[in-house]
Amino acid sequence: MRKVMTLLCLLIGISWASAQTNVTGVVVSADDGQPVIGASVLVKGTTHGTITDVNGKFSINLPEQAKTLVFSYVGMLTQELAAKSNMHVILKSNAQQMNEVVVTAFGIRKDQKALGYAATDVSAAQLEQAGSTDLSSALDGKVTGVTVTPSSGMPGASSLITIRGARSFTGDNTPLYVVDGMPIASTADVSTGNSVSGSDFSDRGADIDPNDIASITVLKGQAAAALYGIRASNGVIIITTKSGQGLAKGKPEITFSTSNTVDAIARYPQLQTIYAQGSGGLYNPTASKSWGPLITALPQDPVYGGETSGSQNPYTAKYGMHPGMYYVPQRANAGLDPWTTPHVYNNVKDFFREGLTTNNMFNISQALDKTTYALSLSTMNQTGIVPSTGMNRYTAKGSMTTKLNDHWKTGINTNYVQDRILKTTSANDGIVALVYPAPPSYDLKGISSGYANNPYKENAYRSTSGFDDPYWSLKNNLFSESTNRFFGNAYADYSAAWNHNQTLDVKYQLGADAYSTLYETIWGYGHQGGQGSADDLMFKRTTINSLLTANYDWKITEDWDFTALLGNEINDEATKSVDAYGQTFNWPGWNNLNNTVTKSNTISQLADRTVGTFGSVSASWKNMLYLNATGRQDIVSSMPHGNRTFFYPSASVGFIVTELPGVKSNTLSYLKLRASYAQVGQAGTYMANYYSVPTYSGDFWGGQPIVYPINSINAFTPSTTLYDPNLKPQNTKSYEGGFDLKLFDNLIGLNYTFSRQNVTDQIFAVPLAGSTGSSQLITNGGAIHTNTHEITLSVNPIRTKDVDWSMGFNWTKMDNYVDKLASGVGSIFLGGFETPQVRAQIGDKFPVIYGVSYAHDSKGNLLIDDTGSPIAGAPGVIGKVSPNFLLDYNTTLRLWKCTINAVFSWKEGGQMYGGTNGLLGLYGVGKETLNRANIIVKGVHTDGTPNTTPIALQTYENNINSIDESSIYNNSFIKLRELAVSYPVLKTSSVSLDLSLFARNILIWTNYPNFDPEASQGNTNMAGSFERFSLPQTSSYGMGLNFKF
Amino acid sequence: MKNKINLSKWVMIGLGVAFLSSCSQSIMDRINTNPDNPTTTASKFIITDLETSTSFNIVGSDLSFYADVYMEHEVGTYGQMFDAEERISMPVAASTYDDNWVELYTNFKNAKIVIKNCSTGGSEAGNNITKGVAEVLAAYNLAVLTDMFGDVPYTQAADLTLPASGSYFQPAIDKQAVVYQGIFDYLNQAITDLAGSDAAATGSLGAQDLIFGGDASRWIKFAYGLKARYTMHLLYRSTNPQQDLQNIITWANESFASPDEDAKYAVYQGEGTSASSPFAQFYNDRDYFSVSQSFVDKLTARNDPRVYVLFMNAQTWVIDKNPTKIYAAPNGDPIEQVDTYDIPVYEVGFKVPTDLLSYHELQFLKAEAYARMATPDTASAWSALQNGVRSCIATKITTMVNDVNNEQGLGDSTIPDSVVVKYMNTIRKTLYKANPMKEIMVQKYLACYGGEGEVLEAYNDYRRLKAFGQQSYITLDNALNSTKFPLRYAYGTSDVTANPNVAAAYGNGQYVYTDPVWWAGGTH
Repeated sequence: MRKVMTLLCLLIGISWASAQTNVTGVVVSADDGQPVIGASVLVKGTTHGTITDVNGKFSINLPEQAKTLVFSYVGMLTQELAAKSNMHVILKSNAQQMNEVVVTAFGIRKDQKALGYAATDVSAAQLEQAGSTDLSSALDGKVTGVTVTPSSGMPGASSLITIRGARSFTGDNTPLYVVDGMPIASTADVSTGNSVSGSDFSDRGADIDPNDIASITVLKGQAAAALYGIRASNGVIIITTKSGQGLAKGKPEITFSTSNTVDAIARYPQLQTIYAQGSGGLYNPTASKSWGPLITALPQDPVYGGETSGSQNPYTAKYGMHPGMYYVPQRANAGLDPWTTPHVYNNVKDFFREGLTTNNMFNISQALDKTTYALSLSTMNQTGIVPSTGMNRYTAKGSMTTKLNDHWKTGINTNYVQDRILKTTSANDGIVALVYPAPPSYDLKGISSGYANNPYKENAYRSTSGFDDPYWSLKNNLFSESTNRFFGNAYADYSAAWNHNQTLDVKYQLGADAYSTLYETIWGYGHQGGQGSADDLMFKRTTINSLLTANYDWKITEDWDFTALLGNEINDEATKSVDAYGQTFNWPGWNNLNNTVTKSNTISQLADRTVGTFGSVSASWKNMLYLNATGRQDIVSSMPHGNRTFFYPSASVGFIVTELPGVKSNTLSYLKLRASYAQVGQAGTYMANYYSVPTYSGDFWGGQPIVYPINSINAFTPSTTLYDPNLKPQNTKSYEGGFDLKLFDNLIGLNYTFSRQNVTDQIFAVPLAGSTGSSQLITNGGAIHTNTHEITLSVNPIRTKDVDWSMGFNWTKMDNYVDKLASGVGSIFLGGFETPQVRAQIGDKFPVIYGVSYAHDSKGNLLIDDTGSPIAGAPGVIGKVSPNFLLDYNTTLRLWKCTINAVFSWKEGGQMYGGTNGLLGLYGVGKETLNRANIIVKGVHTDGTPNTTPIALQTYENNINSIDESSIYNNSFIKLRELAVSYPVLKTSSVSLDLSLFARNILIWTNYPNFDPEASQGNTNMAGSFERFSLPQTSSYGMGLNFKF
Repeated sequence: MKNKINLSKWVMIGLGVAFLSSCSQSIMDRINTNPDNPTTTASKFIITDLETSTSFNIVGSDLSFYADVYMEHEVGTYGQMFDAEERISMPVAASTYDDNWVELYTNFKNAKIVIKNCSTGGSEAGNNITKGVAEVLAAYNLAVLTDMFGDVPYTQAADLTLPASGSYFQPAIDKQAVVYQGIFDYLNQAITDLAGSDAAATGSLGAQDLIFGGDASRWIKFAYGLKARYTMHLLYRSTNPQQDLQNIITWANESFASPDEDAKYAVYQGEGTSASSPFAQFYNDRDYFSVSQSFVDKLTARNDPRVYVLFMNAQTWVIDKNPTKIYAAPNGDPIEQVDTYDIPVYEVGFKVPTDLLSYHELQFLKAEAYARMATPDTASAWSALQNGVRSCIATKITTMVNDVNNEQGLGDSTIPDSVVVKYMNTIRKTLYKANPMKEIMVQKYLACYGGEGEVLEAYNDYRRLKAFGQQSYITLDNALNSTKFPLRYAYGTSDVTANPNVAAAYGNGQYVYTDPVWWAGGTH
């Protein structure tokens, strides 16, 4: 140890001894002649460098032997020039962004060309262009291999980001988020479970303000992420927030940006407007369905009509004839005149409102002699399209770096976030469950949802067992999340250089991510005829991250360059949750836990620690051949005793063919071949078997029919989940290869990457046969493999001073196959009902929809029974969720100063369970029920004769509703996901003002009926596949202003 | 420079120690525990939920709800119950009864844990009464299991050595006769154990026993009563029916001497409290049942006093005092609509206890046994029958109606015992005289009505009668029964998908319409 330190000091001494000269100059853009701000100026072969200031100027001290400077900037071609005084450097734009510097694992900056794997950068401009309020939607459509699955358009709605498919069936498939070097929590704390009732639970990505992000690097493959070890098998999203770094020395730069966005429902369902509430052609004022008479014929109804009399009609008998009118009991309950004229109500349109989002951000940053700092405050206030929903987010950020001397640098990043999300329910007890199917004859908005003499008693158009009236729910139920979060880190960095060809950089960083969230689920007094309940879940998580890294760079000869990295990381996470549940409010009007009669509380504390030691070596030859190898050993606490230590290697190679003599030409500007291999594990959770207080919910129960203690008697039962004491981490072996090609002087860029992931020893909860007395075993069992093809094509057909048009195609084809489950297990449950469900099934792409199918004969004809109705077949796979491919199209057109950006997304193939679409038929409100003539279903009887028996449409709809396959729809779509126009209204040397107009999710072409196919249930791996009274997606229109001075 | 080196050394050593101490096995072990989850508990706390789960989940819930439809105690008029009524996939689907299938085995496992703990060498050896209670409940759950599902995993089921290698992850199926042998073994052992005491340190059951408050003598009576019930289940397969009938009478006499001694789960305090009666809760949460036309017809035909108190308007909750105004749903062909047809008052009886074994059932068992003797003892049979009906109406229904009135304020409408006696006298002279066996079975069928779980016995009885060729005693009106009467329940999904033994037995599920269980004349 002492020798090492002595050597270190010796080396430092050498570096101090070297002499320096000063070089100055200016960097401008070839496109418009404007200064390039923040361009990187590096002494070739070293990490010594600076960046250009607001006027494009730079000043750098050169070591004695240094002769060449390397100039680079995002989106521009890197240039190497001999150092001289008063340099005038002209950088050409590069649509392919091939030579840019990218951030790789642990913040190591590397030339894109030096990588042996695919890594994609997304710039702040790309993220911000359409005013997205959450990171996932800002990323959507911008990176190949990255799938963003939104759940709905509600404020704070969860969304699932996966990179190159799934590696786990029921576990976490989302990438690790690293913000300014600190890994932070991004997943949802509370799973939506089967995802068929209650409200969504946001993911913690909701705390990140996309407007504060300077850049994102997506490390897609395992080779790219391998250094992060066991937590990185799902890829890594490295986020760099805006800081003072890159500013020129001088006065502070103040930025104020504001945007306002209006949200509207993305699609309205097509509904019939002819038939009234009822069944079999008869009016029934409490029916859930609209198979009644013509709305215009209601005054002639024998029971409720104002024009009929007789023993059947008690109303005209009591109140006299009411020509042209009919009697509505709910109007009487609400204290209105019960007699009304027939009218068609647009209950769906009445219910939703326009949402409004206001984003404000204030940022001040400055570079001083040795210090840069940035402070920012931002607010986001959003109201959702469902009344009562909304989100407020307030963030404060401070970051500072300071250079203590030539060797020591220190810095701090701090973030504080406070958000509150008001949500509502979907699926079985969803708020729209009585909106979409509301009879067109019923005035859902106009008739009060409570009784005139008792506002807590629901007055709905149908029975509210299992549902609440939507307007009643707005007033009486509450679903909220309130989060306070702090994350940040402080670091000290020591760097030294010697012999002009060696540098050492040692950095220690200590970070923390701590938050607490209160999840409130309150069903008000009167909920479904009962007295309501309150559930307050207090969730607290603290993560401490300690990271020590040492980087060594040795330029051995003119041709050979060698770098090495050694590091240690300790990640310690502790969660505590206290769940306080109470039911039956004493009196109405105070829906508070303290007002409940029956209470039950539970507490849970879990901790998890990972200690990792890692190293990496890379060598490059003549800027042509790049070799890299890494290794990491992790020790994790969440695995069984004696089975906690794991080692994972990776290797990659990049070869730039065009560096070979004579290969590069005007046609072939650049060609790189790359290949990599990596192994990364994913730890599971092992616990000793334990006892807990049993709970009763699910099944047919809306709430908790049994709550211990029962009359002060408690009970304990063993967990029905068993843990395998021999659990080992699941292993992902990943092979990746590809090329980067640029043609015709960079006019066309083409990148192709193929990757293959083999996941073995997959950890999941193996469902056990009920007859074992246990429900599941956490063990290694499954295998899944993914073949991913990613193609990026970028073309820059017009490149003039005044007009610049570039476009990029991101094409991803991901085939994620389930190879193996535990022995005897054919499929496993991911979510849904008893039937249909979302499952992983051997031999099929992941995931599939499983449920009751249509019966077919051996020739594939639909089988029809004697009544003319389709016959239900055996349960099985009835839908495949996974698309054939995804194609995103990004384009930027600059016309003089005005820039237009658009993002189109095309999802080809894939199916989903469209529960609501099926139910619109069942309830007789869908447009397809407009023609109510009997139908003859095409198919054959079991004896092979064609079916000729007509069946009433209502009966048919009723019968096929129990055949889940009838609600499976193809959900391919093409969307205009983003459209934005930006214009610099004012630009002087001291002030700039940019104006942008933007819209999101405004056009959609799809065969999926009635709804946006990107509205579905669940924050788990079933996301995107299962819809049933799900909350709608939104279209957004907005305007933003950005002042800088 | 010298100072710097020393400082650095200490820093390095400090970091090294911090690193090593952050990941030693013992520290990692400590980190990976949840201090809020105990790894052991006293058996009596397991017993508490074993009783709750057996009563609420097994006897009170889905199994009974579907039996209500099949036995026409109710008509399913919405959701899954409507589909069951119409025989649309429900009776055949493996998903239908899966929750209960799993719960039955969970209960069996928990009972086995208690038995193991309280046996010689166990952590609570000497707690014989606790062990005996677990044995009675093990037998009870196994009997429901095999009665509903036929041949089922038993000897390899609920293996307590899981997940050790060599343990049974895919238990083999045992014949129903083997399961029944196990049931009787458990009951006989329980009768022995219950005569002992709870001597281990964890102490006696006391209030943790929600059914009998720790009273071992009542558990012994319960065990004898169950022996009577299960012997009757097996009567069709009996090798010595006369002896078995005599045993049924003897054991029934060893069992409950009055309705006060009933084995019932009577902790429900009403809606929204810590426990609520499952049938009423089901109506509250789902609203899937309506009054059954064929059931009303049977009461009306007898001018049974129950017809005046059991049914009410779904909207107004006004009890139908006039039987001709009852708006019952037609069996097999109702409109799928909630709150349309009349509903039974049980649907708002949130305090109605769950009956595990009642005095009146024992009386019906005795009546049937007397009537089935080679030389029928119709006088004793009548006496038992009358006891059963009077107990059912004057105690059970009156208590229920009182509870409902207290909770929901529906107005008093109890039936005095004198009315029942008068009613029974009429029955004796007419229907009983014409066919004693038939009337006993019909009266038992009527007495099993009421949302507290006895419908499972009605379902067992009907299938037994079918085996004897006597199913005409109880007329069911659902026209779909000609081809689609569920003779049994379909195995649960969790085994159909994870246990090849059960998957093979399940096939396509259509067997539920064709194959009776073994004790009802089938082969499996």
